[in-house]
Amino acid sequence: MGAGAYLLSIKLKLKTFPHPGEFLHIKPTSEGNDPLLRRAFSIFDYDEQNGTVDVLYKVFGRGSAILSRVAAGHVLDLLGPLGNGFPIPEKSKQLLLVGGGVGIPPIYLLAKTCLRNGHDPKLIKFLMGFGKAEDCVMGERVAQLPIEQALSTDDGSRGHKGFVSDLLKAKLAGGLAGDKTVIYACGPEGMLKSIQGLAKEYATPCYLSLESIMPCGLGTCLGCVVKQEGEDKYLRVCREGPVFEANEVEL
Amino acid sequence: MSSPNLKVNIGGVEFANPVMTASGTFGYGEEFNEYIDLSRLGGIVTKSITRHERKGHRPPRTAETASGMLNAIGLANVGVDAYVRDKLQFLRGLGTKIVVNVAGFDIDEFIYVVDKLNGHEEIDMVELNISCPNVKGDGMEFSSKPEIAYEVVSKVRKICDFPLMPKLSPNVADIKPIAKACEEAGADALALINTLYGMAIDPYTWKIKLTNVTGGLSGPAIKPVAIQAVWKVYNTVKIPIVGIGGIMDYRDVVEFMLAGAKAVQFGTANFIQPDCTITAIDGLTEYLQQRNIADVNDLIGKAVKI
Ligand SMILES: Cc1cc2nc3c(=O)[nH]c(=O)nc-3n(C[C@H](O)[C@H](O)[C@H](O)COP(=O)(O)O)c2cc1C
Ligand code: FES
Repeated sequence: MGAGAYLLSIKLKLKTFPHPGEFLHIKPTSEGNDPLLRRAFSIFDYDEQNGTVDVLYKVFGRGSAILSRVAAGHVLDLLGPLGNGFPIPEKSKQLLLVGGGVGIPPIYLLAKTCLRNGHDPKLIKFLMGFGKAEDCVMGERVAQLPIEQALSTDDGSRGHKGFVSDLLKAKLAGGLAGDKTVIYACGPEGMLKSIQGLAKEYATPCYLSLESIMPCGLGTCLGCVVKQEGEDKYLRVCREGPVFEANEVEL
Repeated sequence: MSSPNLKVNIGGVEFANPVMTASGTFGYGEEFNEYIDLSRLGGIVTKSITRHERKGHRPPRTAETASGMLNAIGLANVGVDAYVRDKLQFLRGLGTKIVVNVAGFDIDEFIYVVDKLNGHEEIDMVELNISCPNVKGDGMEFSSKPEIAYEVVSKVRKICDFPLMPKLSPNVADIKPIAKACEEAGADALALINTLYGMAIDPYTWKIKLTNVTGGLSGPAIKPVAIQAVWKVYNTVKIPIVGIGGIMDYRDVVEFMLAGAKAVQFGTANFIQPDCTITAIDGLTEYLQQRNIADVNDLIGKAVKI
């Protein structure tokens, strides 16, 4: 897709429409032991007619680089869908959906799911953040949804110059704060941290989808954990998550 | 040819086949129940348990390396009381052998935990994780010096109701005297190896990949280290050896048995292929059939020098 972003369409018939926030655990190569472990990819989209699951990712390590070179028609080794996704909001709620770069896929699927369920499009706002203009290809599919959208880039090469959390703050300060609204976010940890802070400041319910290194994805290795807020306890991102209520976790 | 014998006897416990799961890679068995038929396993070795619950280290706790991974989970576990109360229930009646891995940071802790396990008949064997630092001693691992290994194993042996299998660390200059000391202390079997010390740094950010700085290396990267350890120990002691380290499939099982192991444990492989153990049992059966080997025990220590 350009800018190091890749779209992978996997022929995979699911029993039910995937729950937004669920992920697939994919082995970059089925040959040899290097890279060794599976990687977690949020489900981006599902085509029921053709039975294809899409994932969207950026190449940043060896695993994703190898995956990006997988030839069309190749049989992939994967497990899933895994994890607990976003709770689907009541139809009366105002939704503030926030996706940062590679964090966009589960938020896109959530928007799509809500629209399918008959959520009023006027009540859904999608805020996207990217590094620079080229990265905005990841927002192409979102752009096709009949909902209000806004965009930011770190360098100002497109949309608002700054962080996507600035856009969220403007919405909250502009009268959308409170418990008639729900914020849903996925993206880099720094972004999630500021969104967590905003949700608290504006007393607005908020769910975050977290990323983590997930060796097993099954809940057994205890490698993927995040600290539980206010408790001396860790939660498994792959099992209890990847979606958490914002005030439940310490980032 | 009829089905070959896969049964192996370790310290008086008869395992249906030589394939077990390694401690810390299979939880307490529950999560894998939806992926595989647990009753087909030779045995399940559960996550190390300690006197008290442990939350574990701050994340990130793992990092992938070439053909391997580093982990610094920090022995996170529910503690022995919760284990006996909540976890044994599930393990009971699974139709496979249950090996409980016990860890401790001083000898009293090992004794305390094993004492709490005594009398629970769903337990078949105790594996002693002596790769922990001895905090009341010199802070070195119990398995780093023969005298210390002897002391902890003999003291636990005296009070333990079950066959006892110390698990050895590869992070020693010479593993043979440690193995010998454990045997002399009354160990019924030996499990080896635990993870190797390792560390990784991101060349772009300069950040150390694990919060704990160092971690334990596992996976195929450590298999040759494990094979030589099994071979040396096989030629040193008479008690059975359970081989661990980088085992991915039945070929690796065969390799460990040829080096001298009577059984094996799959660790990291469970993360990659939740059914790796079952596939390996089937693969091993076929391997023996094709070669007209009637008994899996005939593989043990049969590696030939060239
Ligand atoms: C994530 C993880 C957690 C582990 N936890 C324990 C543990 O609690 N107690 C223990 O004795 N060994 C533990 N081990 C070590 C394994 O049981 C095994 O000895 C080691 O990983 C080598 O085998 P492998 O290469 O097949 O993984 C752990 C290993 C991993 C990867
Ligand atoms: S990835 Fe292993 S417990 Fe979550």
